[in-house]
Amino acid sequence: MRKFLFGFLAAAILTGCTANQAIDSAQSVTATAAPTIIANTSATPAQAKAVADATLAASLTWQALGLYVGSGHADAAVMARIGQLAPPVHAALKAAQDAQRNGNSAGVAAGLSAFQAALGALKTYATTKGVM
Amino acid sequence: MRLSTDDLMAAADELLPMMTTVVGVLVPGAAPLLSIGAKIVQGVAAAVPEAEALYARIQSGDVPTQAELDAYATAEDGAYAALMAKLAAA
Repeated sequence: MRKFLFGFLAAAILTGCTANQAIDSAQSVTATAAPTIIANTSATPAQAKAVADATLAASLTWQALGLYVGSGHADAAVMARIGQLAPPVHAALKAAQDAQRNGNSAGVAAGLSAFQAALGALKTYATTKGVM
Repeated sequence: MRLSTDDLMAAADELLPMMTTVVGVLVPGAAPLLSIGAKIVQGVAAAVPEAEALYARIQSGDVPTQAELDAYATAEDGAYAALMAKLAAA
């Protein structure tokens, strides 16, 4: 499975599909984790795991998009739009992380929900424009 | 969790033909080939540790410590900042 994941990422990079597939991974991670979140008054272990998974997945997404931007074949208008769509993803994740540090369960849930929505918008655009 | 030498060698065996094919299609010239090849290698090298960590985290079911969460957040901040810098420079 590790080899599959490695090969999946590497092949995606080589074929220019990294961005979309990394985003797919991120969405899969957060979509799986989000329903398990229970709105308690303090952050739960499940929320800590969800935040960790989302954070790692976001890192992959940024790296993948960075590879696209640095490829020398990126479209200027697409890059500009990515520059608009990425900050909400990062901001929502930061909100979830901050809430996690503060033990704010509702804040974590809200942050991850916003993260999922923003990531979905980014993925939809990237898919439409053939970034992947 | 770390990839073993065998894992890396097997992955390299799988990657080499793909790299040759894809880079050859994209850029027939030698200089662009080297440039894009270097970017590919850098991209793979950058992605693999993150992929390993993500895979291990998803599979483990372990609850991360706050220190781990902070480390992931720092890495994510760096990756995000790098992307935004590239976008600004493009």
